[in-house]
Amino acid sequence: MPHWTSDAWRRLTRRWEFWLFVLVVLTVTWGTVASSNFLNLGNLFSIGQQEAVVGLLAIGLTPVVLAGEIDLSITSILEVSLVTMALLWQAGLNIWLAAVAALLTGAVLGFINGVLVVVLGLPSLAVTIGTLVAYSGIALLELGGNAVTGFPTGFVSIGVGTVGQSPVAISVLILASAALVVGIIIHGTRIGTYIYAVGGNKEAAKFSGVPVGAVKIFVFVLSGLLAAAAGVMYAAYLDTAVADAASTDLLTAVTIVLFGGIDFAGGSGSLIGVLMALILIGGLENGLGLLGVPGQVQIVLVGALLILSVSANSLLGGLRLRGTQGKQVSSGGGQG
Amino acid sequence: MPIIAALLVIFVFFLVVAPHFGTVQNLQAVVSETAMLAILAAAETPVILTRNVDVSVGSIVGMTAFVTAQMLSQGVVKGWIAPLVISLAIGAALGLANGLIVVVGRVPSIIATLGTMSVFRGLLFMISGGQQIYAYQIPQQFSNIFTATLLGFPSFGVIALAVLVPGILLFRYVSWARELYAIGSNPAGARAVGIPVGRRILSGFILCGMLSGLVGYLFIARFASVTAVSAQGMELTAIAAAVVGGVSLFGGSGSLGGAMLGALILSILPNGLSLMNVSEFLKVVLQGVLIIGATAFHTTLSGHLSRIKAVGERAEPTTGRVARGASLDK
Repeated sequence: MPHWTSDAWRRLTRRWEFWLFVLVVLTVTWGTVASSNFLNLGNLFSIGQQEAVVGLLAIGLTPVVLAGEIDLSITSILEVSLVTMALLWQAGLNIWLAAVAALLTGAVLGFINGVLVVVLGLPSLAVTIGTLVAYSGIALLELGGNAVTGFPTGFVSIGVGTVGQSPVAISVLILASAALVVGIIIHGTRIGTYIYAVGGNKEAAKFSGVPVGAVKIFVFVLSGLLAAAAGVMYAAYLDTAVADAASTDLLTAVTIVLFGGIDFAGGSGSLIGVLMALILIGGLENGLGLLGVPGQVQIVLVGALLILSVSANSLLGGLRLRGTQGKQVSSGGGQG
Repeated sequence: MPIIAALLVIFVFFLVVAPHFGTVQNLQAVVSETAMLAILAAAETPVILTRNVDVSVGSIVGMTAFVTAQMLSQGVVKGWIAPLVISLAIGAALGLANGLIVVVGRVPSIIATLGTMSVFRGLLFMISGGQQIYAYQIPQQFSNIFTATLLGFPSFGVIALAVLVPGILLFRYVSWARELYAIGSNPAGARAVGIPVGRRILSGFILCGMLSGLVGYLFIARFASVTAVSAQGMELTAIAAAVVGGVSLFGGSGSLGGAMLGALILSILPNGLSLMNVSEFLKVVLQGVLIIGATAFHTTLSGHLSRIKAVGERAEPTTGRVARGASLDK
């Protein structure tokens, strides 16, 4: 083997995304062998529909973690937006206008997070633990223990419907569009470069003229917006709105982002990795569900996966650092 | 200390404004209500001091409460000392698991404990099999722990004091605790002067687990009935209490006594506001605002110090490592 091929191979196998891809291939092979219906398009799209809510949360969280911050309030933002939409619709507003209002609500709540982090200079962990409590309180007070249900059929179709007679699920298309937009932002625009720069080395970014504060507020607004979109999707998929809609989704969303190879310290990872992690966790949950494993037991596996993937990443990262001392360079400039 | 001043202001305010706030019954109720939260806030202290956080304590409380209650109901353990030992041991074991994941597995604590929060809770679902422990299954003698008083002072208050007083002494005079402060203020510096950073962080998590186990024990005495979802969400209030009490999420500053007083503020406020018939809305949002407000207050207070420190760091001929370390302080 010529030198450059082995070098390229080594570089490829060092990438987290490569191993995720191997896992995806293994999962699909296993699914196909286990059940002849697995590769059926209808089945794949129904798994996609199930993962649309948590997928939107994870895609929104990705830029935040890339920028070296964390947003623990996403599920509370989901709940406030969901409840706000449901109440506006109940009060007589058109459902689509109510959905737009929900998106605005999410963006505003995300903006509040961003301002608290940037203007007050507080750690995002503390801010979003605070807003996690405060926002979920708002959702609870708006709706109490009640549920709103019976949304119009046209609206519910974005959660459970397909395009015409084809098996293509509308919610999967929405998820794919969100992924495309966020992917273009973080991998193809100057803002994306800034996000990686801020997450890689905040001080250096500041001295290079990157508007650090604006970039941080931007990622929090984006995260709030997509959490609200997840709330709208929740209403459409389950045709119901309750105040404690998404309590376990935070764990799953964080797991998808970090299992997808986004460095918790910020500055490295890619959206492709996150999407492959979404496929893997969706497949895992679907498979366990088919085997009759209850949801409360499934979260044991999701939690363990979160810990193992982050641990593997940081232990291997440590080895890599010692071996080549190249992590600084590759993580700083690799994706931008 | 600003926290004591704040507490006094709130206390006097409610004494004057809120009807029935100053009655013996109400104050006894406040003390009993606060004790569990205060001990859980104390549990967070040795962890948060080292720039870590433990969001799994609610699940640890639930797990200890359920397993101990089950043993009590089956007559495996009797009296109140044996169950206490069991509770503390379970709590310490779960805390050890958290600590090992953070120190040996090198997982950031917020991620590690977010994971174990679900893992512990899910394991509890498997252990309980959806069953509930009912009040009649718990020996009456055990439930009497809650209603007992010492010279008119509620037993839970006495237990909280039994954590507070040794806690204050420990954090003020014992070098183990002083080293936790050193690690939180400057991890690299602490390592450089020979403090076994990993082992200290690990012991902080174990202590946190043990105190959470104590709260699980009290949970049985207080509520008698225990389910697989008991104490869910308690971790956030406990962290909030510690932060309100001046324990900085940046690490290195705050005290166990402050954390427990923070819990007292978080219990007195809703109590007094209820007596004043203030809307539920205000009460719930207030908790979130308090966390952010307290963090902002303590950050501004230490702002000058950190700025001076930052200038010093920049003057040294250091490169990427420091910057990378700094970016980890989420």
